[in-house]
Amino acid sequence: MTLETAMETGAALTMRGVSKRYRGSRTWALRDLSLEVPRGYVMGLLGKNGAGKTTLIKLACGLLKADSGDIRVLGADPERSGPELRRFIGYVSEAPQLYNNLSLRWLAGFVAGRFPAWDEAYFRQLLRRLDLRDHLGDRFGKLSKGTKVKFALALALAHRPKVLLLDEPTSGLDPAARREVLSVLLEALRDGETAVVFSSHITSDVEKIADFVTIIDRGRVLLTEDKETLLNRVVRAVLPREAGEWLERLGEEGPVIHWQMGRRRITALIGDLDEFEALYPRALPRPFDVTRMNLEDIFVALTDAREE
Amino acid sequence: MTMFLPLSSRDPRPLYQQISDQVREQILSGELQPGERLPSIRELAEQLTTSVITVRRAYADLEAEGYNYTRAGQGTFVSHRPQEAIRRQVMEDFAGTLRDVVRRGLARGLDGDDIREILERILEQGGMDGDA
Amino acid sequence: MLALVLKDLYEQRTNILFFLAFPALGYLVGPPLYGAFLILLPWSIAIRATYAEDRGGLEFLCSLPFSRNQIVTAKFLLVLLLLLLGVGEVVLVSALPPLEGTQPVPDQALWVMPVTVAGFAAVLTGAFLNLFFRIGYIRALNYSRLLALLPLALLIPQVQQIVLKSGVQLFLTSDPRRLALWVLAGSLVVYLALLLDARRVFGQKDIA
Repeated sequence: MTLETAMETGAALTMRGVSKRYRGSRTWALRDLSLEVPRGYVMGLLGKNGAGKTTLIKLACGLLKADSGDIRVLGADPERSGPELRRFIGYVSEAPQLYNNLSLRWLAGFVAGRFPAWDEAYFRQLLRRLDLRDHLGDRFGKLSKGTKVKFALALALAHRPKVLLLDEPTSGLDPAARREVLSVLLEALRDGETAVVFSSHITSDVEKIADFVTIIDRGRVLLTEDKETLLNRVVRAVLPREAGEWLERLGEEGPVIHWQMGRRRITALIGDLDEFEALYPRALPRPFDVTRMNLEDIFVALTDAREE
Repeated sequence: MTMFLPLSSRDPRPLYQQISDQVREQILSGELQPGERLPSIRELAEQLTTSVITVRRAYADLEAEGYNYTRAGQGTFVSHRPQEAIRRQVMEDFAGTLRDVVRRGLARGLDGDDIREILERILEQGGMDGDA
Repeated sequence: MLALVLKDLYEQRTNILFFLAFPALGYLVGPPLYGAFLILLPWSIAIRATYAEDRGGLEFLCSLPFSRNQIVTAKFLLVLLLLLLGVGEVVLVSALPPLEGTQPVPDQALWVMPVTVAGFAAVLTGAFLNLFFRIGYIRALNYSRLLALLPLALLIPQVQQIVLKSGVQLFLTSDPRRLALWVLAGSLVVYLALLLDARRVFGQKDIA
């Protein structure tokens, strides 16, 4: 299949059974990882430091070579398809380091020359929205960390990529800049074709703009699904004490992640509300009280539960 | 078109419900007229700086309740609905909300009389905040 | 590929101009400086340019529509280009009438010395670049510094004798022009081998 035909049909990003171990390391950076990002949507990657978020993004960009598994970006293998595929990818690393001696204007010209689809008017607009216009004459080395990220982001967006791979694009930015970045990303989605994959430890950013969420822990996917389903599925429940015996029997494989017997009632963390309701014995008193949690609570609950 | 739908992370309701509640409110109050075109899902997501899937869910819920309809390639529009249907819907929604509250009260040990008493008191005050 | 070479030339412009001023100095104090210049120019620029790549430039380039091969080849081209520039400048300066009191250039074709030195410089710098693409900046620098210590071996009397004897013999028995061309050809073959090897290794490498 040629790059062109593959690119018209494939999802934005597909990973199947991908494993990666760095040279000289004894642990797997990623282990048997699978996920899919459809075109036109935002995938948020959540994970603690060292969970494998950066590895995942670099694999998708072709910077790293997978040890096993299959990776497709727009239907093409980033490792083998050569530089043409990267015309359709916008990548921003966690702490972008371009060339300290070169001015932003020069760097922009250098990057623009690599992309047939470079949109200069859009680039100007991005510079304005991200407060970069006054820095155009500055050398890259002079910029603050946040400004470096914003400039790298403008470069990555201005060639109108079909897939944006962003490693922590909002960390180190002030709240106003963060909001502007999120809004710029959503604007890039307007065509319904562009997909964004971004990692973040700021769960509120993921909760805000991600359509799909993938939680990674120690190289493995804990879950990957659409955000609204996730937020409805994982809940906190207050149950009558009588449910204790049943919960005991349910064990670890059931829909309950964790529960604690209180003096008068049981507080439980439920991983799958639908399954839980289906299993909940008729004999036990109903109704029980259910509260939704935010993404941060869910993230902490799931990663902590795995540690025990 | 731009719709003003402020979203709050403090609001206990999920974001998609905050959106659908506000759009529903605007339709029921006549702020949005039957036949009027709503912003597209991606437009609204961009305006609200929220995810596409959240707006999609809100629109889907509204559509399931009959508040709007989608014409392929043209967009989403406010439905034409008789006054009676709207009133029934309002009552149904209200009953739903009340059911949740009542359930919560029962779970905390209140009985029917307690709840009736509280409801009376609230109605007497015309729905305003009490003497506290 | 040209864009990559131009990027390095532009990024290192002040350093390059600084080193290109050396031969003028050589003109004032005498030719021995030329040899040092021809080694220093490609070596220093290669080190500075790869330092910038090591700091994150390489990751940036690899995320753009450049192939790994282009990135490696451009660096090797850059060094060749600098050597060409250096040799050209030295030949040009040597052709000027010598100042009073300075050593005149030995009586042989003007290009013999620069070309011979450039050949050695190419191998030295090529070895560094190869190591850089293999094992990264810091370790490449450490290893190639050891390489630069090699001339110290001349301090050992036995080595000195052997080198001097064979060197003098070579120069006496053969035409220096032919010798210079052989050195150049040999160096270029080694340089090409270093380039191809660097491409092969770097193509399979993780950009971590």
